[in-house]
Amino acid sequence: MFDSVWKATGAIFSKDFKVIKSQGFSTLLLFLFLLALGLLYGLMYQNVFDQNIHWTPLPVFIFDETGSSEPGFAEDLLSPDRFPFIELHKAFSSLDFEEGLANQKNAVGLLIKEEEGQTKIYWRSVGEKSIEKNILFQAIEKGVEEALWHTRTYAILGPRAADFMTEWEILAARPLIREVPREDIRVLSSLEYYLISLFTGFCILFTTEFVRDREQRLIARSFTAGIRKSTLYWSNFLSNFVLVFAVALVYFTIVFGIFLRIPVPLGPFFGAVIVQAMVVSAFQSLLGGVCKNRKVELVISLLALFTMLYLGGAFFPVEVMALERIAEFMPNFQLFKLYEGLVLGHPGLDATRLGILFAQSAVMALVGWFVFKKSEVL
Amino acid sequence: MYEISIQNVTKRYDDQLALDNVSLRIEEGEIFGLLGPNGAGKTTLIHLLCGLIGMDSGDILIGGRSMKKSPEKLKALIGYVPQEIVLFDTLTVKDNLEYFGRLYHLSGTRLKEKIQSALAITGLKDHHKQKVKKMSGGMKRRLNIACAILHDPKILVLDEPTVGVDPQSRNHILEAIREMNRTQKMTVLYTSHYMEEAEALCDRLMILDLGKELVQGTKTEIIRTVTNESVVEILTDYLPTGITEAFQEVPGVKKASVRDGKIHLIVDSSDPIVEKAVRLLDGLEVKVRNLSVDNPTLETVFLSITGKALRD
Repeated sequence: MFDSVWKATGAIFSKDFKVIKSQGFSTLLLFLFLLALGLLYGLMYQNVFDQNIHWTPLPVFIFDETGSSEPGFAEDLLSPDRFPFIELHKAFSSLDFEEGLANQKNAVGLLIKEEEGQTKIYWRSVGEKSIEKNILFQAIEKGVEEALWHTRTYAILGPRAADFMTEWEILAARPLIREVPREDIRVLSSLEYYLISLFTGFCILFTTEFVRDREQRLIARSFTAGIRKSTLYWSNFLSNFVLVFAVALVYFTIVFGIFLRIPVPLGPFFGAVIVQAMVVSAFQSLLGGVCKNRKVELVISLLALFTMLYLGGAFFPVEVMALERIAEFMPNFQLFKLYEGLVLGHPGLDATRLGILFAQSAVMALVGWFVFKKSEVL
Repeated sequence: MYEISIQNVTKRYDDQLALDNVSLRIEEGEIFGLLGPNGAGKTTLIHLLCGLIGMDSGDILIGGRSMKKSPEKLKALIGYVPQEIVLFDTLTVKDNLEYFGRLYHLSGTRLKEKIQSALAITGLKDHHKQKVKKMSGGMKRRLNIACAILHDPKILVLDEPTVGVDPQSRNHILEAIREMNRTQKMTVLYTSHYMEEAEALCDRLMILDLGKELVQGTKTEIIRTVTNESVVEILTDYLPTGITEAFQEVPGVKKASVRDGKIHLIVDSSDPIVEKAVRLLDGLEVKVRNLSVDNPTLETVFLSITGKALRD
């Protein structure tokens, strides 16, 4: 059995390698496309997450008709520490306020009035819409909501409100505080996350020959050579593994060595790449077993790719989406954690992650083997 | 001994009966033709023989061994040429042969020798570096065969191997099959849409339709199941009086008449009538200008049995 698997693996690997070589230009283009996607994401990442926005100064005129001499709610909210683009002007009369606004091409006026026993804030905008005005408006809305909550709490609870508010602040702060080891503060960024996820999903797309062979009845013809279903299936798995390992090694050497410039220990790095190749070839085998033609394969692999990218945290951090539990099921998330361990200088590879990835690979490969029916290759 | 014995084989695809209790025996070294219109069950029978699908009932024995019990060992005795061109079209001729050869556990010098031999048999020796996608349809068909004969199979199964092939390649393919059958005593199971090919190539034939065996035997036996009459037409320099009566007396002649200035005879097709007719005319000092014998063909038999042409 092992002898025939070994010989068949040699034949299939040699054939797959020759096929890839014969399609050298398109294979190279696909690989460059993968690298280009990484670069494009890097560009986007730099502009979105590491913003370097040039704020336009926004004059804000405030007139408080209620006549309060203490710094009011709006002045507290609009401190220059929070909004560096604001130029705050306090008006002392309605005329001041109106004149101030009239002399500006682009400004905001906040008129605070007492009406029917309620304090109301009126928003006046001069000039075009802008990102600064938008941010300011949202901040005021949120501030008002919070103020209302406080007011109502005091109105309902009376003297007990102060104690309640203290308790509440402690409770509200708790989920946001997470005690983490100091070293874990150095986690990989979204960019690195994306690069790992992208490869995991993407190489599913460009190394599967099994479904194509199946569609063109080459698998059926191979069966007439007396080769068993299990021999053919596992030989394809091994052949894919070798090819993916080679591609992954090149890709991650470029990612860590050129893109990210993060030194990683070589031994665990090779180990991680081997695990990566195992996961990808298991997924390819699953596709080979499930998909009868390339159209179905493309749809399923794209679905898997984008599910992994979105829910595995490639586009947005998992914590932001509160989807950590779902992410645990994504091989790319587990692989990311494995590579993260390398970057953080952990000794060896995380055994738990390895266990999960082995289990995921085994399930995928075995399901593919179980579903793959010899009679359906005709 | 590598004779094939197909015993009461039945195969269904869901509700559709693809083969209904079909039996046949192919002797070692025989070329056996399987004829039938589309949907007759030819390819299903071949897939069963090659172990690609399982049968619902019955058995297939090769050299007395059951296909059900040891399919992998028996499959290694078979070379299968599928109906479609099943090749890696981005690879070269040699690469394709190497892949299939290695699946048959060939390697090293032996693999190289077998590749050379298969290339020589199929006339592709000068094209071994050529990519399949750049080859003509006929050459691809020949390579399709070459991939099936690398391991010196005892049985060669060809499923319509000459579809869409130019006459030159067709002749090459048919000659290669005859050659392998003659020199290697290879048993051949052959299906074709081309009746004339089957007539010329096969020792015995079976006609299948809608999964059922209609008739099997040698070409003559099959024709006799429908008719044993041939039509002979003789054009002479003149027609002496009493010629039809004279022919009526010849043994084997069922009916003699004169039509359009020619002697028109309906004869027993198994009787060698031509010699007798020439001798009779010679005795009457009548010169024969032209003589034609119109024997019933498999095409007419097929039409008579199935009510449709083979290409339907």
